[in-house]
Amino acid sequence: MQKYIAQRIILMIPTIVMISVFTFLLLRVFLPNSVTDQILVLYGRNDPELKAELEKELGLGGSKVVQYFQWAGIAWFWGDKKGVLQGDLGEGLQSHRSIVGELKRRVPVSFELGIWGQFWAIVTSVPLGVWAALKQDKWPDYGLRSVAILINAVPGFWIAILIITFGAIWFNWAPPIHYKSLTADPVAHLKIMLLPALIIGLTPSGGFIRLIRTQMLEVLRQDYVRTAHAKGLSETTVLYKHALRNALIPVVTIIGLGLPGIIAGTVIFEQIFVIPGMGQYLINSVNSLDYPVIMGLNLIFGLLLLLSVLLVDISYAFLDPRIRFT
Amino acid sequence: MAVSELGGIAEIEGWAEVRERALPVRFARGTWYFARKKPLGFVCGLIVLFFMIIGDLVPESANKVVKELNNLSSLAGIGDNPTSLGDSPVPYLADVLEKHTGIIHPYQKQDIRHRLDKPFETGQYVLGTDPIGRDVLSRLFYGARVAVVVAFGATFVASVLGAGLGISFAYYGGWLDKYAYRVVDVFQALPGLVIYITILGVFGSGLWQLVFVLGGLTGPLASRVNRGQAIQIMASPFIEAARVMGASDRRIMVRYLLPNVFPLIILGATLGLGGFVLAEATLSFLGYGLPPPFPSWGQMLQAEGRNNMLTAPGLAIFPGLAIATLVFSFNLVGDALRDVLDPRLRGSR
Repeated sequence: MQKYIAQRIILMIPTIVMISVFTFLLLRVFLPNSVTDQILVLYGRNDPELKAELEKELGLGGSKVVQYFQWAGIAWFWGDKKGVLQGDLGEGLQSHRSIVGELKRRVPVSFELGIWGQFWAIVTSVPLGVWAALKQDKWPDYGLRSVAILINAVPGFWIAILIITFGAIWFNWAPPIHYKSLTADPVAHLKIMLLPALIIGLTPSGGFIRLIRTQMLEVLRQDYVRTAHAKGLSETTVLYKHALRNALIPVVTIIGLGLPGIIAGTVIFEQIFVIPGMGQYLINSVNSLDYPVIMGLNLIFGLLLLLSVLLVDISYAFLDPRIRFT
Repeated sequence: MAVSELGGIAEIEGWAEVRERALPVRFARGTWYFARKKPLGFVCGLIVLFFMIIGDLVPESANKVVKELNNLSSLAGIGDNPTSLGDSPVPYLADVLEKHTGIIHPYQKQDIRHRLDKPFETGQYVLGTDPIGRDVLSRLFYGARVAVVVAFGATFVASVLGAGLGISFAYYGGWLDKYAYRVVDVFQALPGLVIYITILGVFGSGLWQLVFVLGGLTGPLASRVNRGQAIQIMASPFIEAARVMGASDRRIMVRYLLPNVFPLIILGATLGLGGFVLAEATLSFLGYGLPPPFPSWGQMLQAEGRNNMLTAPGLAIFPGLAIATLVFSFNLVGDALRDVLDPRLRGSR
């Protein structure tokens, strides 16, 4: 098991390197204009001398390959400044703030929001999916399936806007706009997180309900479930210990693979509910072409995805003891 | 069904007759079969068709072609009166409807006297107007064009790319296959929305950028399924037979593998359409869609809906409803087509 995990982590390295090379090529080679142009526009001037000076100051002049090595921290071994390998993502070109410092503040926020979203999705969809499977082809089943299909089609951000709109019109209520951290004011924090998390959880829950239903139906037809019934086990034991555990395996895959997407998907809800997470940071930095920030964020998002794929694979072993890793 | 043995070949009676019928007849038969078998899916298909018609694509492209022809002929000096057809010889549905009904207007027309009209209040602007007096209904219609073009365009790009990559990787195999899927893993490791925002935000956005970015990044992911199927088919004897007969690599891929992978490609495409509509709406909502004068549903929600939600909630309701309806229809058509085309996959999602 440990060997397997170590192997998987080593296999991640080339993927991570390729992600960073891809983003670097995109931002520094294929893109015609850069952050210096944007800064110069602010001053309304366009002389090449100033631009060259600015580029030198920001470390954008010279060879692109050298710049990549500087960013990655390989150049550090020859006495250059610290890079990614040393745990330093550099600083934002516009704000001159340390990117690692910003991320330390922002990653937990987005991560928490995404986890809450998944939490609500699972908490609501597992019992509903099981219920729909037990009542197959009766009205709860039809109702839930229609709701699930409807949910799949409705964009989450529209629901958010409707809730804000009609909350304001009918109840004179608006979501709080001043963000409070969990440690500073737990109650206010949870109040801020609740509504976005519920809406984030809504979108995947439609798919989850349908998936859990079909999986349950599949499993309930298996021989071992009949055996469990024949042994005289109680209905709850059969359902939750024998059937649900096996039905959940593909669900875990979907949940795990969906987690980074959910965290990336918080971008839009952070925008609507004014939550200072990675999404806001991404949009600001993309609009100002702040390339070290964009590269850092893509790296983090890619890493999150790879780690969750690994976690999914590991969790198989716990759900299905027959699966062994070699 | 009567089967008669003809020289060792089983022939289904009436098959030749079916083959001889003209394509439109067969198409109509197929549609009728689909409608009877899957009425809900058929209705949703009609809704999609409705969105395509109100999106009013035909005049746009027809007018462009005519304009090009006019330019060419005037450059070449042929035709004494090249502008005789006018600027838009094929009338826009919106223009025609405005003339005849008075409730549908060109999407960019601003009526300063009617700002933020309430829906269903005046006969002139059925769904009301936005803060600078543009008709919401017509803007929704134009948004349908954007949504439909992006959905079909991105699906087309993704399908072609997915089929091409999947089949050629499966066919050539070896190190190409192995390392190519390392690269596809990287694509999969890039979180969709983040990379879309990065590319569109950095390179500027427009209709074709949306189509190619959405389709181009989905294509490699879609290729996995095609590759799996193609590898299975590669093992069947008829590929061997083709090779013995001296078929070239390209011929085997195009004439033998592609037709067998085709149902999967169609399924993937129909099931992906709704997702592209949602992706387009999300990107437009965040401001990475079409530039402002052109309305798209996501952008209408953001620019007009959110800013005027207290005075005119309709601006936030209707674009969302339009998105939901179109995505819902695409999804149900996809599900119904899947059931009809491939019963083995039923209920697998």
